[in-house]
Amino acid sequence: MREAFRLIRGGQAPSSAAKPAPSRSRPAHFEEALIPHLDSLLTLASKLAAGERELAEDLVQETCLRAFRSYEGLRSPERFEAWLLKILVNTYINEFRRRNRNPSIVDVELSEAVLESASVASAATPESQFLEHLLDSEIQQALDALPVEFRTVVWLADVQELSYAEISEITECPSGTVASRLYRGHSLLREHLREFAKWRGLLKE
Amino acid sequence: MTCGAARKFVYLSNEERSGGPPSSEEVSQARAHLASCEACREFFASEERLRALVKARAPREIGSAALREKLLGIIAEERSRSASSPGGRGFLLRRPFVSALAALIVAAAAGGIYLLQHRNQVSSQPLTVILIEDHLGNLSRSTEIAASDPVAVQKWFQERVGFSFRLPATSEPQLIGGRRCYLQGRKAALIWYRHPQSTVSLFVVDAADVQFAENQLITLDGKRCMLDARKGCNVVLWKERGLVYGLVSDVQSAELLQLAAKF
Repeated sequence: MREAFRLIRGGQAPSSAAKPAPSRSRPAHFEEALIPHLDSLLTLASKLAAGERELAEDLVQETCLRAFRSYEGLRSPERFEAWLLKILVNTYINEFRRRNRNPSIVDVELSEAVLESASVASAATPESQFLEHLLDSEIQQALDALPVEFRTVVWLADVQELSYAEISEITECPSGTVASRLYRGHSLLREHLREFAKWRGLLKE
Repeated sequence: MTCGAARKFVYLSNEERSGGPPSSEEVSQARAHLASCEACREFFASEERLRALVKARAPREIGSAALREKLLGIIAEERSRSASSPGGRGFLLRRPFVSALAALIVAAAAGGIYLLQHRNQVSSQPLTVILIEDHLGNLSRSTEIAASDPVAVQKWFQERVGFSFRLPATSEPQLIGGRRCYLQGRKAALIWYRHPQSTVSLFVVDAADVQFAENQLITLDGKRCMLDARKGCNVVLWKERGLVYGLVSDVQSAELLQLAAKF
């Protein structure tokens, strides 16, 4: 029971050790505030760019410039990282995504019918067993194969451990849509991982 | 309450939904349902497994010192542009001050990288297991770069993995190419050599913090190498200029050591 409720984002799981503690005071200089968050920015940029390092670095560069120009207007310094991530996502949507005309996904509400029909593992090989044998590069490929809207939410929720409300602010979509994207992203990711496992003979059905 | 409704409430509870948060009565009912429904418990266990997998094993990027310097340079330029323009930023942003600050930040960032690498420290024992898994798992995959020229292969990886390394010129075994991979979330180079009887994988990863087991170390031409053998594969590991090199194959360890000696 407790395990199931760890999924609840609003109650916030303990934040990762690598995450810099939010500071209430604003560092006098933008660079000082920026540096501890660069790896987070670069990682999310890399996820948005599906692993294309050059594109990810261009995206980070553009994000840093935009953030620098608006730093004086930042009202909540303790939310600096979420603010940076929001600029990154917006920059990607407005500037970078336009260039590679990938179709957008269609958002649907998280419905009881979809959740009701969700298949619960019935294969001969338990999920926990084959997941641990997958290679990091397979996990990376499976994540990169998700539509960017799902990939972004999965990353922000699972790795950055942000709440639906925070993700909603970053991605500018309602919390219900965030939950739906997270669920659909997980479902697709699970399918891709099962394919890798089947291909490698890790999964018997 | 149906499984679908209970799952939805749990997925969304404590969150602001577009239609408002679920009432405490709905949440209590959902919890009661979960306590007695094995399928729903498995549903959330599966979601939790996936979350944990992504969190623990999805690769993270680490910004190189070069990228940081480049960004700081661009911001310094932007700052100086805005300071020189009418209504620009104030006296605190004069160039010498900014340069000194930029240098301090680069030093702090380098310290940050050091700390991060040490926080994510991996031991050599799991590393050999990981290398063997990756060697076996990647054998049937195609190369991202197919070339027998070590310089071409080095250059290709240098542009993609964020570190550079040197490959020796060797015809036996023959270099055939490689592909990128990730080892415990770190970008790594996987290079393949064709041996008459088998394929030899060479992994190169920026993991200078890895500790080698003293009792498995040998010295080869002044190079400290660690040997291991599992699942029918031999492994030879060594460190050079902050990088860990790992040769893996089912050929004799003596042959792997001969190849290691050429580096």
